[in-house]
Amino acid sequence: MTAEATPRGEIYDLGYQRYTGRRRGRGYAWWSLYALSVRNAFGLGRGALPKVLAFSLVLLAFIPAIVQLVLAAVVPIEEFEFVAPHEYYGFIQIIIVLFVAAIGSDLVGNDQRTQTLSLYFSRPIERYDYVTAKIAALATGLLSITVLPQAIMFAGNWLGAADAGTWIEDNADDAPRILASGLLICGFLAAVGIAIAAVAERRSFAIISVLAAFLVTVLVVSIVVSTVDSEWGRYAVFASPFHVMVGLTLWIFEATPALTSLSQGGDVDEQIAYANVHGSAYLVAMAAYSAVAVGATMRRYQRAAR
Amino acid sequence: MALIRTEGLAKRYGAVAALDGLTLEVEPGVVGLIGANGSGKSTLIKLLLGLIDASDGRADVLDLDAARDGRAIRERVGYMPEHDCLPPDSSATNFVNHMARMSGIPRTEARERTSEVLRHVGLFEERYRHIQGYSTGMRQRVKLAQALAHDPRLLFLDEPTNGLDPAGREEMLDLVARTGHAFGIPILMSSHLLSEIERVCDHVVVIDEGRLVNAGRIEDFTNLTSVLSVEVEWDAERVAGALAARGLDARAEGRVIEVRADAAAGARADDGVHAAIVEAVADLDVPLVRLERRRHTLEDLFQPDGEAPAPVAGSSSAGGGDRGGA
Repeated sequence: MTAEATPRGEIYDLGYQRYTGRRRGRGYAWWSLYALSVRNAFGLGRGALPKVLAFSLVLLAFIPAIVQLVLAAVVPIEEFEFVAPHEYYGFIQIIIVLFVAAIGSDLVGNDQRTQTLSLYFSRPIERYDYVTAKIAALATGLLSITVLPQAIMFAGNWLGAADAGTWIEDNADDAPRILASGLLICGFLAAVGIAIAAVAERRSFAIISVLAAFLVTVLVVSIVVSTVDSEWGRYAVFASPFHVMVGLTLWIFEATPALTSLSQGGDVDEQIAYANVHGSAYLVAMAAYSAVAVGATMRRYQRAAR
Repeated sequence: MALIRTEGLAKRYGAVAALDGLTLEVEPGVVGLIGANGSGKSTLIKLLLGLIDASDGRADVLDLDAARDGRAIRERVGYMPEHDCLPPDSSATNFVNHMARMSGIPRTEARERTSEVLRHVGLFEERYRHIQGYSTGMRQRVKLAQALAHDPRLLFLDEPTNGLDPAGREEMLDLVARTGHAFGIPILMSSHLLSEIERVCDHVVVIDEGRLVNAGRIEDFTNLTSVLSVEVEWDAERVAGALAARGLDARAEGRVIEVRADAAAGARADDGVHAAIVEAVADLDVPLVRLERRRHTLEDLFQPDGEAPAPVAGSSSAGGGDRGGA
């Protein structure tokens, strides 16, 4: 075979072939986006930095569980409890918020900054699919720092108990409570986190906004609840997403502290006690926050395609 | 079958009309969409993809209503945007594979298609490298590859040569031509450069300020016109007068006389016109500098009346500037 006999372009052209196989639908596309986003959340398939960031946050979130299990093994007290399941998220509040801020801004912010978003919207999905896949991915990521350490702690406490049979009889209720509160909180945090990241666009601004939404509001609301001496001051707890989270958790675990005259100040748990509203109100508040968040995200992306 | 059909399509942003009653029909082939920046090219493509809603009128793509069946259209159509749209920290192969799956191609097949399209665009060797290390030309190829990943039945290319140097521009145009002609994928390619459209397209659609100005086969635009250009040393006015006296449509501008032959008469009539011109110039004893057939110019494209051929589809009313959709 001589070189002249083989047109060079022909070799190149073999690259394109028609596709006559199966084409899957919207659900499959949603799943593909969700799966990739979960991987991206943990930095998989990306550089070293996103991996280090995500896994250090996960590691930090496990510290209370580890401390609990180590102390329970060392301290010679029956059923030593350093951290109870309903208190767990209070311990790692800052980790949770950082995770929402950093990973949330990664998940949607990158697509916006690089304008990959326009390619997603040119695919056979709807904008709603994009938004829900991203929220689901962030929620899944959050499970690793909420339900997972709780589950490990639950299993550890059980295995470490002097009488495992009695322990599980006493604490079996906690398992569905951990799961229910964890799932609700992850969904809620993800919806709010994605909304803030989508609207804020710039990474630094997104992170600051998430911190403000979850941390600054705690301080402001604490001050309002403990200083405003009116019947209405106590409803301020609904203005702080973190208070709402705690309120829901205490309701699910039936662990709201007893209402005393001193409860107006104190920590978040006591402020929840002072607010003295039925726990289901926190569930409603959470649903409302999530709905507003999804609406804001959708609005942001309606604008995006212009 | 028309691939794309629009009727009085309009898109307004407040008081600004990005598209203003656009009516056109696009037949299969490689079709150029030409217009100045801001003439509504990108807006038209987004409307056709069902990404934005029309303010007025309607658009059909592959016989699907863009307003109602946007998702079905996007399943069958590939889109290469004008702007940058690639994640820097992903490899070309991962990204194109992901985009193929987003279009519904199953896992294994998506991997195969990714290799094929990346080879087709000439990125096979570099496919595992992160996109951030790619040149502009390579990025444009990845953008084209992701648009081809699901084997679309129609391809929208928005300014595919944007940002490329002359060599890269040539390569991209070759690739577009090969994709459209050798592989038979219909293409709507926008550009603000006539030379690009001329190189790869069979048809051209000209829009300006959101309205259809002209549409037709590319050769009708780039063919020689029936206008003869006669340049003389002096006395152009007198020559024009003499030609007019011989029954020709002649106009003098400076030293150049434009002579319009009957477009339908064709080449044989030209010979008679040529003879008449030479005769007239000789009679007046004026030195003849040049006698040539003029080419259509870009201005002709933007001029719906007169010389340019009639629009391809029944859209002469919109072509004449009628605000059909308003």
